[in-house]
Order: sequence, then C-alpha cells, then structure tokens
Amino acid sequence: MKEKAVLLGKTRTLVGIITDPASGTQTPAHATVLLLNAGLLHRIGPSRMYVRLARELAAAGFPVLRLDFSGIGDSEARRDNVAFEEAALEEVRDAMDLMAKAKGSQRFLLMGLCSGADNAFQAARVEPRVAGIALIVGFAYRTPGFWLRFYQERMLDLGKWKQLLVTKFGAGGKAESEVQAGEALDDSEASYVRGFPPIDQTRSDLEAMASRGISVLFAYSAGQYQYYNHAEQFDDAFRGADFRGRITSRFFPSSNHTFTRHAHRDELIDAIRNWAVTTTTAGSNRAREVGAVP
Amino acid sequence: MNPFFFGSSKKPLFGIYHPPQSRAAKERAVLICQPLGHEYVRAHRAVRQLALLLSKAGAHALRFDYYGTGDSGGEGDEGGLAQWTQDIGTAIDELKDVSGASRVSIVGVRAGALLAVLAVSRRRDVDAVLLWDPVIDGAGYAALMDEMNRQWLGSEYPRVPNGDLETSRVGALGFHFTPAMRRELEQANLLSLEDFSGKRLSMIVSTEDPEHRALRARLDELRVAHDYACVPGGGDWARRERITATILPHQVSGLLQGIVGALA
Repeated sequence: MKEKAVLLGKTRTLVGIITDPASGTQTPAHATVLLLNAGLLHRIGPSRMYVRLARELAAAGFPVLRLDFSGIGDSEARRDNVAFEEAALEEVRDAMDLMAKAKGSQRFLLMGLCSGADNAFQAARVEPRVAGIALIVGFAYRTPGFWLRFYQERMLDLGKWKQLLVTKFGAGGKAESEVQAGEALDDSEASYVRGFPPIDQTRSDLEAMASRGISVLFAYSAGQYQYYNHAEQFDDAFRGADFRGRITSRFFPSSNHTFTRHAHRDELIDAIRNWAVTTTTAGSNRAREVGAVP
Repeated sequence: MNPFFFGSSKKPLFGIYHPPQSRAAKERAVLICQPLGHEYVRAHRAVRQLALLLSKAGAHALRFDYYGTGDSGGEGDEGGLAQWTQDIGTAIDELKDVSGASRVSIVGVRAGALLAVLAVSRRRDVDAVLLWDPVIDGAGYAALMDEMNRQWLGSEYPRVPNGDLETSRVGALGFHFTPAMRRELEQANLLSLEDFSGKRLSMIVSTEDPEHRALRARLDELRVAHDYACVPGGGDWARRERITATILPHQVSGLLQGIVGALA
C-alpha cells in the first residue's frame, strides 16, 4: 500500500490522496474507489474513517482516491458561482478522469457518508463509469413499521414523558418541533442540511441504476433514528420495486450517525469492503458472460 | 499550495507547503503544529487560512499531520508524545529544505503548542514560537478529553452506561487516546520547562486562564523573552456543544491576523 498526494480538477486546486494497492494485488476486476466528503469534514472523514477505509480497500486490491470538493478541506473555493451539487458532479468526473489517466481506471465505486452519500447517488444517476455506490447514512423513507417503533420507543422513554409535562405545564417550555427528514452533520453555522428526494423518484432512480448494472449498498445507522430504525425498513419502503438483486441495505443498530465508536466503525468498514469485493467480482463475471470487456 | 508526503518511507508524514506569495522585508519560514483528535478536525479550515495568510504576507508556511493522524501514515493508536515531537523535528528539517531558510518560527495550536515547545526547546534553528490557545498541562488536557468524551458518548449513546464505553479500545471522540498516549501526555507540563534559550515565545489566546499567567511567570524565571495577547472569540475548546463545530476562519480572523502580524 502506498499513498500519494495529488492536485486535480481543471484549475488543479482540489486536493486528493491516492491510496494504491501493493504491487501485484490489483486485478482487472477491481474498480477504482472514490471517497466523497462527509458534510464539511475534510477527506479523512469522521474520526479518520476514510483513511482506514481507503487502506482496507487498497489491501483488498482497489485503488482509492479520497478528495476534497471545492471549498471543503484543503481545496480552494470555486469562483464560477456553480451550485454545490453541480460542482460536486463535475469534480467527481474530474477525479475519474485523473484516475483513468493515472491508473487506467474505467469502472468506479463511489462511497460517502451523509452528503457524500447524496453526491455519490446523484453521480450514479448520470455518470456511465459508475459501477456501484455505497451510501453511508443515505436517503431513507419512513414506513408504518418505522412509526410504530418510533412511538413505541417514545412511550417507554421516561425523559420524553418529562419533556411532555414540561411542555404542557411548565412556564416557558417550548413545544417539541416536528421531526424533520433533514438533518445537520454538525452544529456549526455552516452545517450541511439535507433534504431527501420524493420516494417515487428515488425508486425510479434505483430501478434505472439496477438496470444499468450498478450495485448499491445502503448502510443505515441507529443515529438516523428520526427516519430509520429497523433492518427491514428499506425493503418495506421499496416493496414491489424491481432492483434485480443489485440493491442491498444493512442496518447498524448500535451506531451513531458518524460511527464514532471504534467497534462500529470496524463493522462498517468490513461490510463495505466485503460488498466492494463481492459486487465487483460479480460485475466482472456478468460482463464476461455477455462477452463485454470487464 | 503543494500537498506532499515527507519523512521516512516507513513513517511518512503528510504536509502542505505554501510558498511565499509576496516579498517580505525579512524572509520567514513558519511551521504550523496542529491540534490533536477532534480539535484537529475543528481547527482544520482555520489552520489552512492561517497558512494562506502567512504565505500572502511573504512567509514560507508548512502545516503537517503527525504520524497516525490526518493523512499521515500509521494507524490512530500508533502515535504518542515522543513520536509527535520527533515528527515536529522532521517537519522543521523539511521546511528548511524546501524554503532554503536557516531558521524557522513555529505556531502551535492547542496540544500542538505543548508538543511544539517540548520539541524545539533545545533546538538552535528556531527563533520564535507562538502558542495559540496552548495546552500547558498535559494532565489537565487528558482530564478535559475524558470529560468531553464522557459527555459526548453519553449524549450519542444514552442507553450505554458510561463505564462500558470503549472498554476494549480506549478512544476519545472517535480518535484513539491509548493508555500509553495518556501516560506520556500526563507527564508533560510547560510549567516544568527548563530551557528555552535563544527563542522568543508568544501566546495568543481566546480566553484568559490562570495557567497562562503561570507560564509567563515561568518564562520570566527562565529569562525568556515573551509576549501575550488575548483576542476573544474562537475555539470554545471546553464546550461540549461545540465538539463537532468547525471553526470558521471569519470566527477567528482577529486572532489569525494577530499571529501573522507577530510572525510575518
């Protein structure tokens, strides 16, 4: 495993770190991995999670690029007034071009947490070089099963009852605001606030991705308790959708939003590495079956 | 801006070198020693801004990650005070090499200030050290990290008894803080400083603290030239509510200008 710093993008003002597999461990089946910023955190990820993930993936044979989007981490802000989502897609493409030129990469796995997941999803919708996306605390949709568990839990929570009493009878108590689908990764003034697309649009996007051969892993955590709270919720939300066996979900019932505890982070990294190996090996086999170039 | 790896191939360190963007009356090379753990993450963008300002003022600036932190080689549990002070020495040599300067100045932020003073106290090629909200007592800092960790994990994992949190692999706020790291840090205290000859020491802080007065008294005893400024606004380092809050450059602009004015 070897790491190298690069400047990329049209103005060469985006900072990235390439983690290369040890010589001889990379195979044609291995796609190249791009790790996308989690909110405003720079390319090391929450609690340095991306550094470990990149090294684990490189040990499994994947070249990895961790990059800072413009205006985040060490990368300069853009001066062309392009919207963040549009700029992120352009910069993902810049990163792909760099890795294509430097490593001959033609297939990519995009991964990210929170806003990184959202940007990976948007890139996969339109970019033909994407072979798979791993979305850590990505989009989620509440179901009747979600609400049942949500209110059951609150009924048994003594703190919530106390809060209710204060709200109803206490002087100056504030009414609890409605649970929002959006959230912030941190509490700074520059927080990234999320909004999820309508479920019908996401279903349609996922079916289109599956039909193009893109694999998707949704990794949910208990830290998303406002909109995800049990392992079967994803399957319930998308019941009847035709995902061709390419879209999977995994729930981490003990973790917080950013996988702060080491044990939870280890578990997540294992799951993503195993998914990456399985999905690229299966993708490569499928390509051979139909006579396409892997 | 030039991001690169330096040091030995077994223990590579990541740094970003900012060459001078203007001609200064006196050529300066400034090494920035970053904080540790979650404070490193919080300060990252502000430290970048400091390096840019120094570079605009005509200085060579280098910021870097200690071994086992940030983008540098090594895992999070492999570092420690001895390793990190050695890394500062490696970074000083690198900065002298890339800039051509024979002497350098150091900015140390939070725990980076403690490490910087310990690393350079006997070096003759360092002429000034500026401490930004310095950690002066390693034991007090370790206790603060414990308390912040307890409060943070308690709020993130309300159902897990505190005693059960991270019993197998000790961590603070998701970063490693091993028993060995703790032992080393608890023995470090700038009030026990023995030698700091040939260097000027400046402190710039966002809040007044009795420890700052104690350090200034110690510097007087050692006959070390020093100065001090308090510029309110900044880190809120001990507030749990700010534990994940990025320090935005505009929030510390006065403090950053003060540092640049003192060094460039």
